Amino acid sequence: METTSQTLGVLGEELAGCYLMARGYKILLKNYESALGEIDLIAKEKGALVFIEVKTRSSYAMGSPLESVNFHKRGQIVKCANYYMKRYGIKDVPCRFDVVSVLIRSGEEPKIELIENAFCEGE
Amino acid sequence: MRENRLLSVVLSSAVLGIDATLVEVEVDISNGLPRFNIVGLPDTACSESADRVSAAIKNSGFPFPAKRITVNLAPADLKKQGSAFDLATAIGILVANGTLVKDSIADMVFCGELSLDGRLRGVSGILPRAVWLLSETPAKSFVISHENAKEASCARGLTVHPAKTLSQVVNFLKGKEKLIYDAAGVPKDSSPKSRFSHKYLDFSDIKGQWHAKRGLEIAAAGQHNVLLIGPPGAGKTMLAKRLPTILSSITFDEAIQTTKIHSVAGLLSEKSALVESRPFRDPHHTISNAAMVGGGSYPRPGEVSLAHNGVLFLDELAEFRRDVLEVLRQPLEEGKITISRAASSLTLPARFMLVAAMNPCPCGYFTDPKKECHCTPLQIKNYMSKISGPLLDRIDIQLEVPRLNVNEITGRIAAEASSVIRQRVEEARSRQRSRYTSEKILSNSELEPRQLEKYCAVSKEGEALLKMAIQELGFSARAYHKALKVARTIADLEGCASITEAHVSESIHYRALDRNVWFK
Repeated sequence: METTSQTLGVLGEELAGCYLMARGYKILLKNYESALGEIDLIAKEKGALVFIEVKTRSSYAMGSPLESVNFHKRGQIVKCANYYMKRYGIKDVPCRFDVVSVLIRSGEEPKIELIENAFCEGE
Repeated sequence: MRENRLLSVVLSSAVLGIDATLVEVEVDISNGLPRFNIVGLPDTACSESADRVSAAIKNSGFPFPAKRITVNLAPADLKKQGSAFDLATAIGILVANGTLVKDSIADMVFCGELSLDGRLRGVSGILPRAVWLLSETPAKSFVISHENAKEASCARGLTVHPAKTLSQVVNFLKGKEKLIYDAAGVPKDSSPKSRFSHKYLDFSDIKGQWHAKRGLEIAAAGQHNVLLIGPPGAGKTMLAKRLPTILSSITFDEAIQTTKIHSVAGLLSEKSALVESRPFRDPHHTISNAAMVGGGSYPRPGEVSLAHNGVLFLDELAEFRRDVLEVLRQPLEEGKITISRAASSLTLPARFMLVAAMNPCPCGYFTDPKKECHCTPLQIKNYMSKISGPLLDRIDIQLEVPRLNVNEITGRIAAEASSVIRQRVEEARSRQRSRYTSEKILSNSELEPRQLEKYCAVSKEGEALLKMAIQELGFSARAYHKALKVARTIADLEGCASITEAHVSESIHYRALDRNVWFK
């Protein structure tokens, strides 16, 4: 079955959400959008607020999904996270950024990889 | 202070010129978006420390907080350079994090670079820090990389804890492991310093040139500046290269001073933690101004400082850029160099013995009786004028090194070995040291005009000869003083208490350029 890139992304985010819930994450928001950008998932885990970027690919042809979370993308996520916290008056809560990579190849089990605390602000 | 705010202060040290000062590394960990920030005027190597520290902590198996980390290197207005604050920063994070307790680091000063896998690397400038620590706060102990252990323990009396990895330091602070440096290999005050010895270099290699060898012996005995002039192939460079083999041994205090400079310049290796023989620096004549006297926006020592308590050899003196030679004036006169930059001004010690070699003209054969010189008088004049009068005036001994004749080259007359000459030099040096115990100097060349009257009493005949030299040869006041100092050294080599006519006449003889043998 041929999947367009958009449906692939939605599928990946669904899979990542299930995977994280199984690992004890409590998903608060999906596809949080602001003027500054978008965050795929916002969750709580062990008292920490986690901003999660999900990257889905159907092959390694364009490199690993993780590689596409580059400097520009990270900056966008940080800005958006800052906005989210200001908007809802969240202060003094430990936060971090996670990245989930989902690889869906036709005829194979999807491969999911989670990187906790993947990057810092200003990196 | 709010409860969830974690703060720690760790002591470290920064080098300013060749002295050190205290730096407090403050680490604050707070909630919020994770970020690792270093403030307090760090340079690039210093701010990159964030990446090294976080990797080293994780790879050593300690928890690294996913929080907002701010590191302040206080005093915040002092520019921080290099990677020496890595260890203190890592310890600060571990204390703020609760891995270590605050009390365990109370009496420690930390210096060292971390590698990504948690190993501890050596840094430059450890001896200045150790000496400073010993004089300011001797109760504190010094935690450093094992690569720097030997260098640090040259500051005797200081407690040094050398470690190979970050986890070793943590175990040590938790009391699980002891870090003790076995100081057996460290040079002692009383032990004789290893002298400059070279397998292939010895004065007995040089045939003939008795006059030049005598001149170099006097120079070594009184730490006088020397200029060797002669045609190509006469042996000027050979003579100069063998000079270190007859120099007196370096004292422990001198060695410490010189090592501090070499340490800051990053010239020490793990093995040679202390400069144990007088340094011999021979920069190429293309050297820049800044490389000669030191410079850079964070001033670093140049060749004149690296040659402190040793020899600075300038081969082909006339080929050096004129401005490079002129900047030598202050260090030659005062034994120190002041480097001023927009960011800071710094005074470094630079008491060296200048040894220079040059040809008398561009083709080189002007004074050669056998080979014809092709230079025009104007060319010769221009060549000699590259070396200014004030610089020549500061050179106490000007030696002609003539071409050797057939018998000297092929002859089998055994020459004196370096060890014999050095014996005489050492004796002359010890006479000077005991004579100047009440003064703050070590050798005749450092005598001030005021001290000349006291220590350089000349016989009547000698006095008359000197007066004649001033009138006939046009000695400047400085040339007169220099001649007196050299005469004092010649007398010291002979073991004479007073200066006689013979000493004075030999000393006047060593001012070849004042005698103007060239241009008459």
